Amino acid sequence: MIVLGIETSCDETAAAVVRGSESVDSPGEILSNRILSQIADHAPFGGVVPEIAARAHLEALDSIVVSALEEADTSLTQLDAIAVTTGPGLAGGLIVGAMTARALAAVHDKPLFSINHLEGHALTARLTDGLAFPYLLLLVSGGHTQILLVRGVGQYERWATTIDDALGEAFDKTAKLLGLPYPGGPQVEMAAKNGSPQAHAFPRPLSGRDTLDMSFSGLKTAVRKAVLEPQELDDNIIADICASFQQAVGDVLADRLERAMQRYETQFGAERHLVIAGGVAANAALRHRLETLCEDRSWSLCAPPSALCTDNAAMIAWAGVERLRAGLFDTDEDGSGGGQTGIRPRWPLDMHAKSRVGAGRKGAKA
Amino acid sequence: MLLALDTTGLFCSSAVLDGHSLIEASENIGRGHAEHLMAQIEAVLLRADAQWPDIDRIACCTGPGSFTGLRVGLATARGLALALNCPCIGVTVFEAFAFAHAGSAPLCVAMDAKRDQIWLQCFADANRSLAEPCGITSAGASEAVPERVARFAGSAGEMLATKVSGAEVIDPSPSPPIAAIARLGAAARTDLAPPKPLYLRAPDAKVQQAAR
Repeated sequence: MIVLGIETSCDETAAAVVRGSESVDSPGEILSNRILSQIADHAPFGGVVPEIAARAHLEALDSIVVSALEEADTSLTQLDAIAVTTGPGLAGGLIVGAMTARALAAVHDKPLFSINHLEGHALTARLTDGLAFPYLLLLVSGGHTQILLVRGVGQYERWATTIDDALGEAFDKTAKLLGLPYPGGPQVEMAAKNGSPQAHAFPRPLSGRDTLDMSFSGLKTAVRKAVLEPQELDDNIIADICASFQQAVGDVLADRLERAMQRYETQFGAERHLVIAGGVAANAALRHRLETLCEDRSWSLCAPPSALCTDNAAMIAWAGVERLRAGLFDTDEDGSGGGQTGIRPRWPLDMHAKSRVGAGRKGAKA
Repeated sequence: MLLALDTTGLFCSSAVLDGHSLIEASENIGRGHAEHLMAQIEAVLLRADAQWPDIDRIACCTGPGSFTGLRVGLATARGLALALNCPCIGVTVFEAFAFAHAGSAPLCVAMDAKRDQIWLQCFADANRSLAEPCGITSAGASEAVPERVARFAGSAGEMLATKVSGAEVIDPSPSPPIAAIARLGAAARTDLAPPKPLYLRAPDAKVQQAAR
C-alpha cells in the first residue's frame, strides 16, 4: 500500500510517499521525503512566527507535493490513502495542510487520515526498524518533551511531560541568551564540546522527586544569571555555559528515564526497547548518554536517523499506512477531527492524560 | 466547467459555472470556513449535476480579507487544481466588485481591514483600475480616492461614502459576489502562476534585537 503524507504543523513544509506491506511489524519503504525548511524566513525573528509560517506553507505546499509524487514515481490515482497532520501545532499551517489534503482526497476519492503529529514520531521506529509493540518513547523537540508508552497503533499512554518549556525550546533560548544564531540547539551542542560540564552548578529541576515529569524553565533562568555575570562573553565562557547546561539536561533526562524504565520493566519484563525522536534526539552528547543508560539496564535503543527524528512527512505517511492496515479510519468521535471537522491545534496523543498544573484552561496541548 | 470559491470574508461561497449557467451557494457563516467549504462545494457540484472530472478550471478569491480565511480558500483551490491537473485563477475582492458593478462611472471598492484601516482600490471601469490595491488608515482613506469617484462598494463603502460629498453606495456587502469571481475566472488567461494571497498587511513580528 502506498500513502502520501503531508506535514505543515510548524516550520517545515513537507510531503512524502511511503510504501508499507500488509503484514504487521514489517518496516516501510520511503519512496520520497521532501522537506522545505523555513528556518531562514524565521531567523531574523529569533523563533517561529506563526503568520510567516502559514504564508510560507501556502506558497510551497502544492509544488512540494508534486515533487514528492514525482520522486516516488507515482501519481495521486495510484495512492491507497492520504495522511495529513491535523494537530497539534500552529493553526495557520495546519489549515493549509488539511485543506490541501482534503482537496486531493476528495477529487481522487481516497481515504483521508487525520494524523496526530506526535503519533508520527511515535511510530517512526516501526517505519525504519519494524519494531514490535510495546516500547517506550522519549520525544524531545522544540515543541514537545514527553515519555510515552506505545502499546499499539492509536494506543498511547503519556507517562511524562514537561510542565513548562519544551527541551528544544530550552536549548534555543540558551543559545539566544548567549548570542548564538537560530536555531540554537546544534550551536549549543557544538560550543559545549570545548567547555567544562562542571563549570556551572546548574539546577536539575524536579530531580529526586517522585514524578516522571520534567521542567526546564528554572534551568533557563540559571543560564540567564550565568550569562549576565561576566563583563564580556568570550568563547570559553560560552563553551562552559553550554557544556554545563547540556550536562544538567542529560542528568534530568537520565534520571526521569531511569524511573520510567523501572516502571516499564515491572509491567512488561523482557521486551525492553527505548525509542528516541524529536529534534533534540539529534544531539550526539545526549544520545551517547542514553546509549550508556540503555546498556546498563539491558535495553535496546532505537534512534531513527536525524532526518526522520525531526519534523518530516514520511512519518505522517507511515502513520497513515499503520492506520490503513489496522482499519482505523477517521470517524467523527475518535478525536481525530473526523475527516471533515477540521484541525486540532491542541490535541493530546493520550486523550486520557491528566492536565498538568500550568497547562491552562483548555487542558493539555499535546 | 469552472469551480469558483470565496472564503475571504464573512461569507463562504462556491459556484459552478457551465457556459452561462451558474449554480451557487453563498452563506454568511462568519467563521469556520475550513470546516464548511468542502461540504458546500460537494453540494454545489451535486446541484449542478457535475462530477469532479467535469471541472477543468478553478477560480478563487485571493483577498484581501481574513488571513486564515483566504488561506482556506487558496489551499483548497490549489489542491483541487493539482488533483484535477487544471488551471487555477486568482481574482481579488476588488476585481470581483468592480466586475459586478461595471458601469460608465468610476468605482471605489473599500473593505474594512479592522484596526482602524481600510483596504481599497479605485476603478475607472470594470477593466481599468486607477491605482494598485492599498491598505490605508480610515482617517486618510478619503484622500486616496480621486475626486471623480463617487460610487462606492464593499464593507467599508458606507463609512467612506460619508466623507465624500454626493457619494453613492451601490453594494455594501462584506464579501465579493461569487458570480463575478466565476465569470472573471472563466475569462482569464490560464498560463499564469498559481494564485497568491493578497494580504496587504505584513505579519506582526519584530526583528530580534540582541538578547543581552
